[in-house]
Amino acid sequence: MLFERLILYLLSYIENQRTTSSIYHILKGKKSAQTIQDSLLFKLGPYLGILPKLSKEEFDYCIDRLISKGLLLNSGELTYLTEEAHKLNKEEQWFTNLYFNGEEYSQIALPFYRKLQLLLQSTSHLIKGHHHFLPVSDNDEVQRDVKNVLKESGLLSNNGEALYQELHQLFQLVDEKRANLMMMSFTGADQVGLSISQIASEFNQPDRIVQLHIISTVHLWIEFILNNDQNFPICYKFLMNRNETSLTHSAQVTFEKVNQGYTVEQIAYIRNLKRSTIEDHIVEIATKDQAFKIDEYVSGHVFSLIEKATNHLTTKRLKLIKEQLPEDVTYFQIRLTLARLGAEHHKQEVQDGQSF
Amino acid sequence: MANHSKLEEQLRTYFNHSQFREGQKEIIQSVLDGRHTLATLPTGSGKSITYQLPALIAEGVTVVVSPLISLMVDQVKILKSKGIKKVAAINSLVDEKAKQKLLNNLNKYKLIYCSPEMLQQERVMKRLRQVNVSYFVVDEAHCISQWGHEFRTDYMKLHTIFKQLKEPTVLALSATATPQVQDDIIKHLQIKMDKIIHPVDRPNITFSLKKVEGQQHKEDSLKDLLHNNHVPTMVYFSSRQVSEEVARKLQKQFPKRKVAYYHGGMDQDDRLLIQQQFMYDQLDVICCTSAFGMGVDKANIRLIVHYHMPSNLESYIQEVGRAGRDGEHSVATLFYQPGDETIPFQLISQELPDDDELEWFISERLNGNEVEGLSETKERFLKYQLELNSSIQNHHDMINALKRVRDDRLQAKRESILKMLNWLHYSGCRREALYHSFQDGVKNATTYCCDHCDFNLDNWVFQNQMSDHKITFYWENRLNAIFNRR
Ligand SMILES: Nc1ncnc2c1ncn2[C@@H]1O[C@H](COP(=O)(O)OP(=O)(O)OP(=O)(O)O)[C@@H](O)[C@H]1O
Ligand SMILES: [Mg+2]
Ligand SMILES: [Zn+2]
Repeated sequence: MLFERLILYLLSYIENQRTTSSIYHILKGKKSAQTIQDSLLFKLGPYLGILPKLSKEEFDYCIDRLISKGLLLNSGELTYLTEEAHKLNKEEQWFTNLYFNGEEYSQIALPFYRKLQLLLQSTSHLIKGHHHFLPVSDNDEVQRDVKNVLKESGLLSNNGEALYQELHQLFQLVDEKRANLMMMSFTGADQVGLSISQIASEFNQPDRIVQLHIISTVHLWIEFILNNDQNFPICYKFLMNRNETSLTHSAQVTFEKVNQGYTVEQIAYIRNLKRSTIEDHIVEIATKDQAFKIDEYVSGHVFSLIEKATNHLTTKRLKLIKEQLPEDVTYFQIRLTLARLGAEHHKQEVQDGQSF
Repeated sequence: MANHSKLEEQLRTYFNHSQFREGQKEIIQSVLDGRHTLATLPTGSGKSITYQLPALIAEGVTVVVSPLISLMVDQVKILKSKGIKKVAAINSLVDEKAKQKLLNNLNKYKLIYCSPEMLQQERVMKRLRQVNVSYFVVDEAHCISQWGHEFRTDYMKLHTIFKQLKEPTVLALSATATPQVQDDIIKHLQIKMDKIIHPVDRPNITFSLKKVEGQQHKEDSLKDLLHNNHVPTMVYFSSRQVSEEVARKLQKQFPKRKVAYYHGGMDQDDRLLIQQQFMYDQLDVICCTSAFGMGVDKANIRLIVHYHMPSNLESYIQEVGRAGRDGEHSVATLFYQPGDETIPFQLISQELPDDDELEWFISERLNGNEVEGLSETKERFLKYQLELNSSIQNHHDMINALKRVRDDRLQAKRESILKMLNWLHYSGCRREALYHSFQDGVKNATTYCCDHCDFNLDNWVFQNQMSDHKITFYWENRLNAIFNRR
C-alpha cells in the first residue's frame, strides 16, 4: 500500500512518455544506457538503483493494484495517471522528507553501511576486551576494509571515543524515530542487530518502508560525511578511493577503444559485438562523463536541430522527435544529444544547490 | 605415554579443551599414523577436531570437502574466532579477486574448506597440486554414497582428486552412515580404509511422536508445548512459507518471547543476523527449514520440534542432532498428521527430472546446446549421468539408461520415506528403532527414553532457561551500550 504510493509518485514523472517498467528499471538501477538516460531526462536520478533487489513480480503487483484502485490507466504502452492520482501525489506522504541520491550513492551505499556495521561491532567487542567474535558480515571486501581502518586509526584508544562522536553526529541528523530504527540494525557486544523484517515488525511497518528509510538515511549520512570530511576522519575512510568510474565493464572497454581513435564500426568489429551495442556504450559514456566529446558523432548543426525539436515538442519520446527531423538524423544521434542535454540540465541543477 | 599427553597439550593450546571426548583421540591417532580412516561419531560429538587438530600439527595444507557453503563459512568463522587464522573457504561465493589471492598464497594456509564443485575447477586443482597437501578430509561423507540421503554427484569424483593430490591420508567422517553407506564410501574412494565405527545414538535426547488430527490441532499443540517450555527451541518445516506463517503466529501468541524464521530464500545478511541472535540466546524460537541445520553448533538447544516430517531417517538424525550438544537433557518431538507424507513424496519427485525434461535435456545436449531453466538438482543429476554414460552412442539407449537410473533413485528415495513412516507408526521403543539400521543396540537414555517407554510430552515441563527480552529502543542508550559507556 505505502510502497505503491511511492511508485505512483515516480510514475508521474514519466507520464505520457514511457511505460511503467522504466520506473522499475530506474529503481533497480539497470545498467543500460536507456535507463541512465531516462533517469537524467526525467530527473529521477535520486531514485536510480535504490532498490537493486526489487523483483518484477512485486513491482507488477503494485502496478496492478494502482490500476485496480483507479489511479493508473491500463493503457497498454505508455503511462497515464488519473485525476485522483495527481491529487494524491500532491499530498504529503511518508517519503516526502526522505532524501535519496541514488545516482551518486546507490553503488556505494550498501558496502558503506555494511562496513560501518562491522566497524561498530568490532569496536564494541574490542573495547570490552573480546578479541574473538563472530563478524556480522562474511563479505571479504567489507572485512578487509574494516580491518584496515581499525589498524590505521588507533580507534580503540580512549574507548573508541572518536568513532562514538562521529556516530553521535550522524544519528542526530535524522529524527528520533528514524534514529531508533537505524540503531536497531547495528550489532554490538550488547545485542545482535535486527533484520529488516524484524525491525519492521517492531515498528509495525511494511519491510519495504523500513528498508527505504534505512537507505535514505545512509544516503544522507554519506552526503554529510563527504561534505564535512574533516569532521569524520574515520567514516570518511570508507568513502575514499571511489574514483573507479561507474561505467559498466563493457562500456569501459569501448571507452578505451574510442580514446585510441577507433570508430564505432571498428570497435564493433574488433569486439565482435553489434553496432547498436557499441552505440549504447557511447550513449552511456556521454551520459556519465560530461567531458566526453560527442562532436565526432553529432555535428554542431545536427545537435542544434535536435535540440530545437525537443524544445518544440516538450516530449522526450524518441520516435516523435525523429519524425520532426531530416531522414538522415539517426536515433543514435538523438540519444547522444539528449544525453548531453540531460546532463547539462542536471549540472545546472546541482550547481544551484537544489539537487533534490 | 609422552606422545599422548602431548596431543592433550595441543588440544588445550589450540582449542582450550582439557581432554578428548570419546572417540576423538583414536581417530586423530589413526590419521596421524597415516592410515586412511573412515569414522563415525554421533552428532555434536566433536568430529571437526579430529581433522582440525592433525591439520594444525602437520606441515602442509589440509583440504576439507564440505557439502554446504553455509557450513564452510561457519566453520571458518568459528576457527578464526578461536584465534586460528590460517583457514579459508573456497566456494562460489568468494569473489574473483579474493579467490586469486587465496590461491596464490595457498601454502600459507593450514586448512582449506572446499566445495566438491570447486575441486572440479582446473585452476583450483592446479594450485592444489603444487602445494603439499597433508590430509584430505571428507566431512559429511555419506554424500558420497548413492544410498546416502544427500547424494551429490561431484562427491562421486573425489577419488580422482585424491589421486591428483598425490594420495594424502584420507579421513572420511559422518554421523549418519549405515554399514551399506560405509562400504559405498570406501568403494567410491577406491582405497583401503580403517573403519573406526562408533555408535551414533544420543542418550541425552528423548524422542517422542505427537499425533495430531488437523492443521489447527497441530498449531495448538505447538503453542501448548511452547507455553509449558520456555527454552531454546528449533521448529523444523519443509515449507518456507509455512515457517514464516507459524513464526508470525507464535510471536503473536508469545509477545514476551522472540520468535524468528530462517530459510534459504532469505538474504544472506539477514540469515547471518538471525543465526547470531539465536546463538546469543536473543531468540527463543527459530522456525526454520533444513537450510538451518547441518553443522549448527549451539550448546543449549533443549527442544526440537518437527512440524513436518523429514523425508528420511538420516535427515531426522542430523536435525535432532542440533539438540543438547552441551550433553544436557533435551527433547525431540515430531508432529504427525495423517497425510503429512504426501509432502516428502512430492518433494522427491520434484528433485528428479520427469520424462519430458529428461528427453529434452538429452537431445539439447547431444545437439551441443546449453540447457537452462531446470532446477539445480535436476541439472546436476542429468549432467553427471550423461558424463557417466558417455559411452552410449544411441540417443534412444541413452534416454532409457538415464530413465532407469532416475527410477532407481526415485525408488530408493521412496523407500527412505517409507522407512521414516514405519518409524512413525512403530509401536515399540522409538530410540531403538531410530538407530536400528545404523548399529546394533543403543545405550540407555540418560533421563527419559521415548514416548513408548517412559515419556509423555503433554506433561513435560522444562525449567525456564530464558529470560524475557527487552531490546533497547532508544538510539542514544543503545549507542552508549555499544561503546560500553554509562
Ligand atoms: N574435547 C572436547 N571437549 C569439549 N568440547 C568439545 C571437544 N571436542 C569438541 N567439542 C565441542 O563440541 C561441539 C560440537 O563439535 P562439532 O561441531 O565438531 O560436532 P560434529 O561431530 O561435527 O557434529 P555434527 O555431526 O552435528 O556436525 C563444538 O562446540 C566443539 O567445540
Ligand atoms: Mg560436523
Ligand atoms: Zn524407548
